[in-house]
Amino acid sequence: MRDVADVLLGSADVEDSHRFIVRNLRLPRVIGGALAGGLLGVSGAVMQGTLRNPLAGPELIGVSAGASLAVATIVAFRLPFPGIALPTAALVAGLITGALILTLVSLKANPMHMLLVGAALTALINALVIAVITLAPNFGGVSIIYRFLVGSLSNVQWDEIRLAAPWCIALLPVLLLAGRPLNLLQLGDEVAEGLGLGVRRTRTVLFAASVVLVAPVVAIAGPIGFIALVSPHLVRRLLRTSDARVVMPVAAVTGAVLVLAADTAARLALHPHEVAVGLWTALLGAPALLVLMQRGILRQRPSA
Amino acid sequence: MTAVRVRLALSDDSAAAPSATRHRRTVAVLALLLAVLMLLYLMLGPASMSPRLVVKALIGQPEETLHRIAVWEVRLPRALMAALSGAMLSSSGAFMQSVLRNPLAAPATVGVTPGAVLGAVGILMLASGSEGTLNQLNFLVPMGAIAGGLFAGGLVYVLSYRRAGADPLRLILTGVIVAAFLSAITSLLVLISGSHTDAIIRWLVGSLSTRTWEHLLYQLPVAAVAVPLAAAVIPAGNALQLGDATAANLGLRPELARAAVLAAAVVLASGAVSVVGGIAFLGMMGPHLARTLVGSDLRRLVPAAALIGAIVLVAADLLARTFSLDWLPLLEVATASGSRVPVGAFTALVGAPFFIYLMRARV
Repeated sequence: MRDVADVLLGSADVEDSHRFIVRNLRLPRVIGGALAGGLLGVSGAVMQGTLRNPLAGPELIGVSAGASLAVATIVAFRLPFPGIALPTAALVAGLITGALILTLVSLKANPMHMLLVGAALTALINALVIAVITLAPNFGGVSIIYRFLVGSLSNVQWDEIRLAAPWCIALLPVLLLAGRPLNLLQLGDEVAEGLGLGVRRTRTVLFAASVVLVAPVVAIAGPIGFIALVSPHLVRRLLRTSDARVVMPVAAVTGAVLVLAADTAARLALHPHEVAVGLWTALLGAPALLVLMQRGILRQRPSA
Repeated sequence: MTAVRVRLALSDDSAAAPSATRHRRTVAVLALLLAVLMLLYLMLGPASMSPRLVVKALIGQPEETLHRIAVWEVRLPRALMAALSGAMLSSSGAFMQSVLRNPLAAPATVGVTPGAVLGAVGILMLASGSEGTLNQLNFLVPMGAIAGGLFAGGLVYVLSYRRAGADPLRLILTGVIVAAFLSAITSLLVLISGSHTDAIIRWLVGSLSTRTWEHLLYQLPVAAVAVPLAAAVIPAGNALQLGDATAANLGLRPELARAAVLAAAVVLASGAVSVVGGIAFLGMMGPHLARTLVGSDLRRLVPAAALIGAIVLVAADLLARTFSLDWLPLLEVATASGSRVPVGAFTALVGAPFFIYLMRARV
């Protein structure tokens, strides 16, 4: 503990190895994990509000998988894209997948229907990701699979942070501006329209915004699952409020905490092996989701 | 759901003699198509041969020993396994879709395939610990897959069981989540897999490379159990398609009947996965295609779906075996690396547009 503080404060009497470990290996990873968790948390809150579907989350409706497919293709085949284009590619693919699922599933349908179609779509895209990985000229082994199928922070260095950081600026306007429309959408389409909200346009913009928040995460760490889905639910349950202006920032913090906790577990649990963070979130998130289903979050059907 | 029911009613109305012969003809055409594909499968490959040479090799009078090896040792077992596995997966999907009354039900979405893959990968993992006993383990891998598939199927059923029984929608949703969970465990195993990573990844997508007679031998007993079981539950499945109330009026106990049909479907799917791995989307695609051809009556749907599944998997594996990316200089794909495209990649590629079409047609 003291050592870490010393390194961070730049004090002189620290071992070089410690300084290197903290500054170049752990610090970027912690920052990257916190950023990823924060972005995912907000994205999930926005997406659930926009689609008025408690089961909406980028990982369940295929957006993360689509973005991951784009990144995996570029990385595995070493396509001539500059590194800076990775989040953009992820964004484009994520938007395409999102548009696809919205054309396939009507918003009025049972929320479970979207989960089902999304799961099928995700399974399909994951098969394509595996195909891309096996076709790649230099098969990268386990770590590359982890990165593109489940999400892993082990590749996150300062370069990756620099890649993702600008996108976090997108977080601010979302946090500041999305609260009111999200709250209005909760009241139902007719009421929102009556209160002067262009429902269709708002929904499109907000959905796109939630994908924008996911894209950089997928680009640097892969499709980490269940954070975006679970953290808004946790927040709503703990604070007993569904005011989007409160839920969004707290969900960001919750997401960051969850990712960091999962990543710490990932690093330490099976030492010396390193389990990808996405695995832990899936292993813990899937049962959590089952419990939520049993408790009947789904019975509170949004009044259409 | 109503669409399925209406169509079933329609097909029963017109189930008089002329349509029955038409359906029989459809099935015959499908069988013929499968036979032609099998012949093509035996002909094509690194050493292509004419139909005459194939037949000569088959009846034990090859012109060269190479022909005998290519046909008997390599291609024939693989073709038979592709056909059998495709048929089992697809008919399993037909049962699941009918009984759960949901077009998205399939071995892969309700968790059976991920469970079977986990079982197989688990055994492969144990194999990496003990090197000398490979023959024994070859036998254990399919067994592990079957155990895993049955376990996953049972787990999903138990988890979605309520006082009134396990209702179809809850079964599917629980299946989706259990599938995600089991896949995560499989990925966890991949991490500690050490030397077997490549084999395991092929299991994840589904692949028929390096399969020989031995594997077919392990699959046959499962098929021998599964096929009579499947035939026995067809009437129950037909009754359940009409809704639980109607099935009860017909003298069935819906919950028991559904469990029986699902058990048959699980055995079919696990048997298929035990040899080919987690083939994507065949279990969903096959039944849909079959339904457009012969309607929803399981007596016709299951055979047609089985044939279509066999055709698709044989064709996909033929592609996987002969296809190469050498003509794509841009990608600098290593030519002689031996890393052929696993057949699961092809079914996924075909499955993607099909899935989108299917969902659009429903909305």
